[in-house]
Amino acid sequence: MPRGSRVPTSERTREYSQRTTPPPQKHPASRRVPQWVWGVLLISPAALLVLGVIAVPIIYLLQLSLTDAHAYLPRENYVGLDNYAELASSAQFWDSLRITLGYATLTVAIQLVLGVIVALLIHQKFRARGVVRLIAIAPYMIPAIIVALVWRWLLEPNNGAYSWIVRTIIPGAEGTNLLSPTWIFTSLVVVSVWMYTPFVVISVLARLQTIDLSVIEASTVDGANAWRRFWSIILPELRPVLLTLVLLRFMFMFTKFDIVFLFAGTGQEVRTLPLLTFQRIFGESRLGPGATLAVMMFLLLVIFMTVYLRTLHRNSEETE
Amino acid sequence: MIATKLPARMRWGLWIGIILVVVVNLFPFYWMVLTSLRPGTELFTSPPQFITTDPSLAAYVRLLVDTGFLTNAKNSLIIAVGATVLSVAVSSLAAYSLTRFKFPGSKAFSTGILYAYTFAPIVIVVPLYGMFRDLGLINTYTGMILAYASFGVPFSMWLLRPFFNAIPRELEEAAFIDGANRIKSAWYVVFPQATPGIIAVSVFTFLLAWEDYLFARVLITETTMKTLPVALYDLYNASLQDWPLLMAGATLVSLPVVLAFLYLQKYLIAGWGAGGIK
Repeated sequence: MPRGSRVPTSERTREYSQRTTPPPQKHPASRRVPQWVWGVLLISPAALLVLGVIAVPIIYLLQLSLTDAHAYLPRENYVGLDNYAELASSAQFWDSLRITLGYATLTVAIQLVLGVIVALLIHQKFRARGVVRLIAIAPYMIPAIIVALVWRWLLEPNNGAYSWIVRTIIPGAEGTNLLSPTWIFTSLVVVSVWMYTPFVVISVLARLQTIDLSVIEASTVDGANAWRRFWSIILPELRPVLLTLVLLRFMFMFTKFDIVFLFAGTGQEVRTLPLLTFQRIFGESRLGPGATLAVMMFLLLVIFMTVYLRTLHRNSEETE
Repeated sequence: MIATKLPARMRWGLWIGIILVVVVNLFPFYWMVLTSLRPGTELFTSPPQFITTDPSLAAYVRLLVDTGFLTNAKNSLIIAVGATVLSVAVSSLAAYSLTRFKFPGSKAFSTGILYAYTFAPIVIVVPLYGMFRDLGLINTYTGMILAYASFGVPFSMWLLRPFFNAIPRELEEAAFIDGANRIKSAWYVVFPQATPGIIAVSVFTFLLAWEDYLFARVLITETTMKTLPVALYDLYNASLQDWPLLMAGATLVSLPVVLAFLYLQKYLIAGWGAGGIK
């Protein structure tokens, strides 16, 4: 995001970019072709791609959700709002919604707390800081399929390294299978937190680097201890970025498919809305009802996004 | 507490915290590589052995010879490179357009792009499957490239805009005076200046395509067209789990990611990944 990047913008360039039309005599090319034609011409490939592969499918999705379309056979009858009515009365849907909300809330909360702690830790000055920072954000870069496979192997009940440690350290945990239905949700939360906390670390670290040091030094002179300093100076400074992170992370975790499916499978303990959608379509071949589920997720996302943009807007007004 | 000298007592706490972060984050990678190098006899010991005395490349040989790994790698590479080229070309033009011209709808377009984040992959993949099925784009490189490229575009445009904005207009005007037309001045003056941004965005888009599972799972059904993440998962799902083989595959798939990561580190630490793709 532009917020974090450090591209110098001189007063001079800003002044230029705000000018609606550059002085025509300096632009021999622009005399022949009007400016806006160039603008539209250059942006059209991007616009076409985004419209064709993102916007058009959304409209098609809305239409699909009103049919009984089959996933593989060419069958498609209009059924009105039947799919939505079926969804509203389906216990499976409400269960799944509850699991999704639980998963998103839990993982986001833990990610935020751990992320802030780790960011504060690696913001300190110490030897090998550069390497430690890289290691601190490494899990976020690794493909979900790798994270899922490696963690399934670490938690494998008979020979997994982590399951052995858990069995040895925790008394009474001898027979525990961390991949069994009883534990899979907890394990999934742990793996998701491991994988996505670095996202919080990166964002918080970027914000920490912009905090004015003199404020902190002044408070040190005043004798404020570390905890007081965190609570009354640093945390308020972090508030905007944390707010953004809550919303963004919640949106991402709410619609997370890959790590849930790849690590935890499709058992009902971890059947979040994205998994239920996938199962409807490719397990039960019911494209129409699957589309209805996707529409529900889409609507929730639009609501989140609107809230997010509003907050972003308010925050930028506050800082200006 | 922030970048000031710490008392000795807190220094200890700092180091314990740092060691914890390093161990927790690195151990899974260590275990992955270690398992891939293990001879089969060492695998099922209790307690598990945390080092190996007799490393062997047997699992890598089996992976490359007995499975379709190389075919899958080829598919992944073609799709990821194709999507990167398409997405970066298209979003560079768009970023140039948005920073140089005012036209009806340019402002709406910029805000609209932000909404692209609401389009979660799981929401898009459902109608895309229906459309691709009807258009015959299932099991084609074209379809996959189009899908990933359009997911890369909004993100790339956002990251590229400040780069283009920072290029002084004076430079371009100098080129105009020298008689260059707009296309020439953009090609020889503007784009070279934006190269660092373009490279970073390329790496991000490449990773987006390289790492994805969902789109590849849904939009590819033929074994010979599968990408690496799908192939690895199917290998895992095969009845008997051959962990050294799976971990060898995982190590090889991670390799380009680790290299890209090392390259991108300065951008990541500057807070770039935030607002990112996943």
